[in-house]
Amino acid sequence: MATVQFEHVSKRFGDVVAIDDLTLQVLDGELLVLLGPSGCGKSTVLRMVAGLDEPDEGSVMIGEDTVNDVEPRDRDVAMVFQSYALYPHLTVARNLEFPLRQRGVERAEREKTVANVAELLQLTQLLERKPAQLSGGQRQRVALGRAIVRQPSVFLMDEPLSNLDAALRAETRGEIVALQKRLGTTTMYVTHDQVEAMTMGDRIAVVSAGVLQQVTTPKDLYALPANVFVAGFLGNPPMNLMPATVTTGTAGSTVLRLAGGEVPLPPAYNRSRLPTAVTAGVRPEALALDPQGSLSAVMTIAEVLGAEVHVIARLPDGTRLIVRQDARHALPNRDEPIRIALIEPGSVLLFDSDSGERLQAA
Amino acid sequence: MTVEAIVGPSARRRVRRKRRRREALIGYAFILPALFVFCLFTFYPFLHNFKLALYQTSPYPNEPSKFVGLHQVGQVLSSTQFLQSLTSTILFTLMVVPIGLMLGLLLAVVAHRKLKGIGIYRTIFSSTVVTSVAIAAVIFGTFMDPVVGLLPWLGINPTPPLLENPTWALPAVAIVTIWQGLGLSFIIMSAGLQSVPDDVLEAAEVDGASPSSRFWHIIVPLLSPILFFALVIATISAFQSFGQIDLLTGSNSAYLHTDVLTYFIYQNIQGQAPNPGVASVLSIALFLMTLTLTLIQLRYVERRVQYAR
Repeated sequence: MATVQFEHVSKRFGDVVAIDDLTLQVLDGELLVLLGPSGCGKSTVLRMVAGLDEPDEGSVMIGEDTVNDVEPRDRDVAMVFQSYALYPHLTVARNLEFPLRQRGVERAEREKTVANVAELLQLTQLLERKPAQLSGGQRQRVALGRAIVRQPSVFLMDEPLSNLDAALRAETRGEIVALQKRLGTTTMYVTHDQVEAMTMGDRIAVVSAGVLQQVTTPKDLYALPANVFVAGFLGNPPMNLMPATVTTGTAGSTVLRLAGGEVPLPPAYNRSRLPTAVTAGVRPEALALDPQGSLSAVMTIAEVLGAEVHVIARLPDGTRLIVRQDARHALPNRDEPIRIALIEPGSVLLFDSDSGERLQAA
Repeated sequence: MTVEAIVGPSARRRVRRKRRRREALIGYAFILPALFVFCLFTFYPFLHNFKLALYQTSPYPNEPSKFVGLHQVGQVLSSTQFLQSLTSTILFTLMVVPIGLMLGLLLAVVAHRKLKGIGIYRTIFSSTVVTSVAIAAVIFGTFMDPVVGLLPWLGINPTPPLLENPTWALPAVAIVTIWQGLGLSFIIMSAGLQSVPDDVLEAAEVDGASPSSRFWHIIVPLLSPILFFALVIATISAFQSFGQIDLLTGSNSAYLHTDVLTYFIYQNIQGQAPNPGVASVLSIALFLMTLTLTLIQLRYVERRVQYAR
């Protein structure tokens, strides 16, 4: 086991900046999820730890050692690739023992270790099959087995579940977390799927356009996103982001004036420390359709998801607003004027209109 | 009401059969010209060869050939000349095929790396594919020339000179053949390497495999279908080599042990004493040998080929 540390790491591919000045520490034994949209550079981060890509600037450390110039085979890391990258000409048993063979482990010990890993991952019946004869889920387990077989210091997982169907993905998610907790190995897990990130990560590092946006626990990431990117990226549906003005309301108190009306300024904020123009962020579950609501909007569409429904409305300035509503409530018709109430005034977050950074509460 | 109900199943079958017959006729019409050319220039001469092998050509130009049956076949196949030619052919193939394939693979692996300016090397490595046998023979003939050549300048100057030396003439011709075939071998291997997934090689790298281990345990097994294909092609090609031998050692080939089967056949057609009957026997022998070798390769070597999927 070991920590992994990035110190001002940058990586470019030609003119494209894949990673820009990344400083990040993965704690010993934790499962850190790198979350971001496709092409944001998160896989590059993983490949730099594996030694498959070299940083142009900064240093990558595993434990106490800077590994910038260390060959992948000498880094004591194991990687699970998105495509699994199994050796197609070798049986499952030979795939699993490949890392051990390369390290000159004795045959008897190899066989014992492979048998143990196969049992752990329910692969015992498949040991003599070749990858082409396995299902997606089985291949994924073999790839996982090949990574854990030699007990590396760090596991690197590059979207290992993206090729599985939804049901199997949910099941395997739990299995990977359980396995990681049992082994206690420091793990970096790359995904673009926020459900995976939220359910698996001890901490989540959100990356966008090669820049680290925020690193924190899933709960904090959802409750207190560092900027509008994180706020808009995390959550399904994502946080509603609306231009707002901090002003004095009709009742004399400080309010946030939005396109469709006014809502009270969250008590945590001090007006004197806020700019006048801000971006207000409200989670869809903090809103409700209410004839007495302070915001007026026009109903656009409703997405019924069984127990809940996502009501998509339009404010007078055209801003989209999503309300998460219990499916038992009656729904307005399309293009019908509606009113929306803020049911959790304290949950409104304010962001700087220019930089997009979350404004600190007083 | 369905179409079947209107016209009935048998009527529909008849229509379908008629359409299929018409399509087949159009298909045959398209291949007919190619089939005609193939029959005239390949199939007929091939069969006629079997007939010629049974006739002995008279030493006197105006006398007709004499039917001798299989007697001539036995006579040719047990002759010292044939055995020497066979030995030269086998030695030549053993020199050309393994070295050519290994060099092609080695260059392909080198050129597969993502390095600056690697495209120039790729172009150079594959350039011999567009070089004709005649040009290759002229280039190497000049290199090996005992007076103006490069090799004597480098201090390699055996007596008699390389291309007049019974010990070195066959290896010298083999070198020219390897060089000339290197472009094709490189292209085939490069194409094969493209099909080896990068992430599999990267996985092996992370799993602790050294470059040589990656080569022997990942690249070679995954390339084995291509290697097998190249082996069959290279063997057939080596068995049929002629131009470079004729141009570099010519009429001295028997003395220089470069009289491979194709050259021996040529001598029996175009030589001082043409003997089409003997040439036919030799052609059939070469054909059967190539066929047998290919079948052996298909049967035994293919078993070791790792077809990934």
